[in-house]
Amino acid sequence: MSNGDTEGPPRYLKDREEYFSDEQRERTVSESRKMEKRVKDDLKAQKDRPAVMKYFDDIHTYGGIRVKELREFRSGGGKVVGTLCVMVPFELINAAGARGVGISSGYYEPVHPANELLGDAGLCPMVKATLGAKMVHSDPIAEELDLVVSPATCDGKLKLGEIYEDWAPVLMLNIPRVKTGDTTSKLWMGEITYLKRKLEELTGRRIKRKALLKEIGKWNEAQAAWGRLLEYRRRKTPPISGQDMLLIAQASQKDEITRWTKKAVELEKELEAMVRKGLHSGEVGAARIMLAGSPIIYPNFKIPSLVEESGGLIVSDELCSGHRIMSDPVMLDERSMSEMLMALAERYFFPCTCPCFSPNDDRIRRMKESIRIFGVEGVVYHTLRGCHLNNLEATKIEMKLREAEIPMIKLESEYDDGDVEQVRTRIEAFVEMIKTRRAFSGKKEGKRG
Amino acid sequence: MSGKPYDVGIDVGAISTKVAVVDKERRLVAHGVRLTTMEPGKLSRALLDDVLSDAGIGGDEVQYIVATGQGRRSVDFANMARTEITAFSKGAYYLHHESIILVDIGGQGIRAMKRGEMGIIEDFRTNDKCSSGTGSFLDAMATALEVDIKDAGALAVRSCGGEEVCATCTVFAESEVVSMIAKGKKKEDILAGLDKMVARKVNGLINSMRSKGPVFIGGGVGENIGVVEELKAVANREVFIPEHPQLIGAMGAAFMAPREHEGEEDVMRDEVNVKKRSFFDLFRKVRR
Repeated sequence: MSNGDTEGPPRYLKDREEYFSDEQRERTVSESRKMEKRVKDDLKAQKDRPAVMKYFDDIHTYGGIRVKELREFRSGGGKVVGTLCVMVPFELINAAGARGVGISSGYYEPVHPANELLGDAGLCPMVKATLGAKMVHSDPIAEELDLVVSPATCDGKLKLGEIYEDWAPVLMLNIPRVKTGDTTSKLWMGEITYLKRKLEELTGRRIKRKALLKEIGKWNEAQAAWGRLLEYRRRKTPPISGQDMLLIAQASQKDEITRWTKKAVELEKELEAMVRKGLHSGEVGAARIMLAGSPIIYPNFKIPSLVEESGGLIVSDELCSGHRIMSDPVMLDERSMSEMLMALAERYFFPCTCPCFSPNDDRIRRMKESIRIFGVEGVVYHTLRGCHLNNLEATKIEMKLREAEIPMIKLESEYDDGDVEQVRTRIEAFVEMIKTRRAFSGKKEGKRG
Repeated sequence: MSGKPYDVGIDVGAISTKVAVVDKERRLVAHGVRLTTMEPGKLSRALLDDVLSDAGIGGDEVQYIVATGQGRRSVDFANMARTEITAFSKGAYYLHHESIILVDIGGQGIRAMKRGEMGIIEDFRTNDKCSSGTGSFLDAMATALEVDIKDAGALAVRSCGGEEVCATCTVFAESEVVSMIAKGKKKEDILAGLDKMVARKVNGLINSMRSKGPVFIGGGVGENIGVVEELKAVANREVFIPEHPQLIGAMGAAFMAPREHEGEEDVMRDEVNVKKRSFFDLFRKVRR
């Protein structure tokens, strides 16, 4: 670490241990714990919730079992790699013998310390919360990191990685943001090879062909289990809520994937039993909603919980903190190392429909497909404050959806509870609108038939 | 259904609570407005009782009570509650069928709705968090200028050329107004400038709805002639102002009461009622 003024960390905060008071740290920790408990209590209070959900709850518990396990893993010499984006191949991390864990924060309180350093410049609250949690050490999992992998997708994430370097070693991945063109694949492939080399350096272990193949197999199995869970969301009365599905998807980035798959299979069995008993989540005739837009990370479940409290049910999402984590398996043609890396690179790049890419027409295509498959009646498009890319794409998506006669509502939100009632009114009106439309479109179809 | 002749809509807004009593022909029979207190439930009960007794209507003549507005949940004696967006669009639709864009400029919110076929809302937008351009904004400005809000509109119309007020934040606009007073600007010119600013803001929301259709303006600010005139000037399209702009939400809520007897086109009724009838029935009614 150099002490020069021009290069190397710390760049942003020189007295980083003394800058924040102990009192502020304690407050951030206690507020985060309180928030997590409150959100979890709301989740637990859902009607007819499967019992297996307890496992997914526990994985997300603030300072829960997962922290303890990671700590033990590290004390045995293991390395933990934090990821700041869904575009990091967990297979590679695991094949190197390290553990991957998603560290983007959904906690509200850490936004304040980040504001103190950066000034409130309308920045993305998720970026600020992730940073703030590290600044005041309020996220126990973020304290157990040996390396952070940060793909430079949007402006917020680009600088987040840079600032984070003041606290932990960060590996930035260069993302080719223009998806067309000859250099795209080459650049991204080079980045994946670079990540592989860096991971090998970190753990001191070469990534063997067999190990990688095994990891890819594990993740593909998990995706298959996820796909079977999705089938239940297609039902007329889905036995599982959208909030729980988000929780499940996000748990895969926290826990060992084999244990996750085991629990997902258990959940599948339980859902099957629930369906046979006629149990279901939400009310009968709930408006079928798709959640889209900026990432919604536990415990920032403000929008999804409002949707599901207002007579809607989230039957699908296109969030990078939800379905996109689990949406596309790695397709292997050959099993040589270079082919596997290529397949990984493809899976983590091309299906990704983050608005940081252009052209991004694949996003609307995928959304329309999900709308058809899951019988979606309306789209709730959520943008975090300062998420310019999602904000910009909203117009295009709204226009395309209107052509398909699917209404969309755009909601901007922050990491605080101040706007809950306003947003609730809008969501309720949206649900009322969908239900009125339903009555008429039903009649129209009847006439045609 | 048996012959109780009246329905009641109660709109518990952020600033004021409105009660509208309508008959089965959707005519406004009686109404009342009062500032919303900390106990909206009690307030609306008292207001309703007063309105009914003033009009000489007995409580047993009321068939249905529908609550709307931000405090709709606290009206515990209502038969049902609907959001102010649905209620307003319903009210606006019945009062003026031709309007496509329905704008509700309330105490703390500006809501624009786009009406689709048969009165169903297709799309709606609201102001985000910031209350600039709403009723409470104009109220604050009138207070700063020491003008009664009731006279503010008429005073602004007297202005020969409005000042330019650019700040879009209530607090900043207030300091701008104070500095204008210090410079010795006329009250009516400052008010006209403020009204122009509100009109521009509302017009921006109207334009974002992507329709060239006529506009319906309601909500408390619709009573302010200054804003309305400015809006007519900038909107560049037909603008319709109802007789009681402030009561549209409450009337719309009352119109939402389910009714069995055949009136005119009952197209935005409760789902259950609609399903009983065929599409052709509805279609015929719309055409009539």
